[in-house]
Amino acid sequence: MDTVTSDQVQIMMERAGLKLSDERIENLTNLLEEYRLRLEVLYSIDLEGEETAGVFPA
Amino acid sequence: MGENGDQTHYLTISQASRLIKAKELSPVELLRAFLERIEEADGKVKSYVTLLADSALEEARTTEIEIGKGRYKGPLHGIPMAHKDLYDTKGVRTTGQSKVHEHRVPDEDATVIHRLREAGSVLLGKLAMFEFAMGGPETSLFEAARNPWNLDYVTGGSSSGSGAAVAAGFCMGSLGSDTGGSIRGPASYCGIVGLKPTYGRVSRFGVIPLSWSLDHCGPMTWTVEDTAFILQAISGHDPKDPASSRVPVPDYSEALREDVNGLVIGIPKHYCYNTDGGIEPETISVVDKALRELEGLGARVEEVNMPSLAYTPVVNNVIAMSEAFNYHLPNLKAQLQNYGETFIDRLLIGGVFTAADYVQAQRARSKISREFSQIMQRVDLIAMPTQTTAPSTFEEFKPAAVMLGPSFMAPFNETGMPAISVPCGFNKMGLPIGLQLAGRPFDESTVLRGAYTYQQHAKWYEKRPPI
Repeated sequence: MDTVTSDQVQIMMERAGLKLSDERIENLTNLLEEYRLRLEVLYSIDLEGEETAGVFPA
Repeated sequence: MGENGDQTHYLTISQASRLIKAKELSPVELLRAFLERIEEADGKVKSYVTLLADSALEEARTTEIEIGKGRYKGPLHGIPMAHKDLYDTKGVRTTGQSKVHEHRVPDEDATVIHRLREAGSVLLGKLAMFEFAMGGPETSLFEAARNPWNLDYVTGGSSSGSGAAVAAGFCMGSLGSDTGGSIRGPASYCGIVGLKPTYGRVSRFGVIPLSWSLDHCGPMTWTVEDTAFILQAISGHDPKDPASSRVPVPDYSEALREDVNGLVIGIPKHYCYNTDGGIEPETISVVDKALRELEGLGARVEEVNMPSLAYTPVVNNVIAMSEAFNYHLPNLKAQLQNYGETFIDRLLIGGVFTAADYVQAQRARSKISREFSQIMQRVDLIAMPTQTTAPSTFEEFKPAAVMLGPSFMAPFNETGMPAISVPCGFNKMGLPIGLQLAGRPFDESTVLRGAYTYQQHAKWYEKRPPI
């Protein structure tokens, strides 16, 4: 899994409509980097045929 | 009850309700005892963010009149309760402990608050919490609640004030909320009982969301019996909550018999007794002793293998943060400056997880639920320590570590299974440790039965914090 850069984080935040300070972008990028190993675990799971099931009101 | 049994504010709901029904205790007298207690000691604990002394007195007088006229409603009639400041209370500010909602006053009660009023309980006030049910003790609004067992230590969260207030005798019960352990965690750290019911068992309407598919509402009390009383009053279908279940509500008091004969309890020791994962040996020792006691009472305890536990923390985080970010986005755009730093630091990551991350997490969630369902065909309850460690000091507490570390509680938010934390001892510092028992969906009765039997045998409820 590639490292996400501060520029990419900024684009993602702006896409959501948020303009964050450089400091916040930097902190967020660092947190995401700390999270990278955990996300690798997530993608290493053998999900076989699992779906995301819709749930509808009774 | 033990050494503190002669103090009115330390009565359980069960004890107080018997006295009230017999007209040996006035609801007004009971309420005054709590107001005195709060004035005496909450300045140090800081569990209340809004105290409703005047309106509570009025409600107590009303209940006294009703009971005097023979219109007794049940075990919650005249019982003073306070709730996490996440629950909408009509005409009373409900802030989520954030400057974002500093002046927010709902015009309608949350469904569960309404149900408790209908049951005759008295609303004493609103309690401290982590900002918007996540982050840490420091928030953008109000001070942090402190652990009544030792004021230098955290209560756990996010239902921090609820844990502290029930433990210290500032209210007889409280509603907390739980997205990844926020009822059970403070219950464990404050030495009280906290139940996260099955997803859909208790309405979430009128409760400020954190993560729609992981949020649960539930009771926090001194005893398991008291939890059963509150659960009975708040459970049941609510058309205002799209996730609300129509599964019939049983009589939870029927589950309260001291008997675990024949119950099979599974424990995934490969995960929850693994000190490499940061679990404290002392916590393992205390919890293991409790399980031996349950064996002595007639339960069968066996090891189970649950490999999916390894990825339950990341699944919870990706789903919770993604949903929470989406919920808060309008306010993030409008008033980012009013959010507390501890909350924002965790929330923003939900905006950089991708759609692929979220879908992967939801698919993993399906796999986790499937594995747990298979395990529950062999066992009646799953047991684990509630928390990986005993409480830390405020200085030692690291919100990021909570986010990134293992969790014994999050799996039951993902699967929606009911799970309770019941006190099972103390560490060397005199701080509480909790035992978590989880059951099949909508089988709160077996969860309550296991916890009640243990609590009646171990009697940790006889010890109150030194405050």
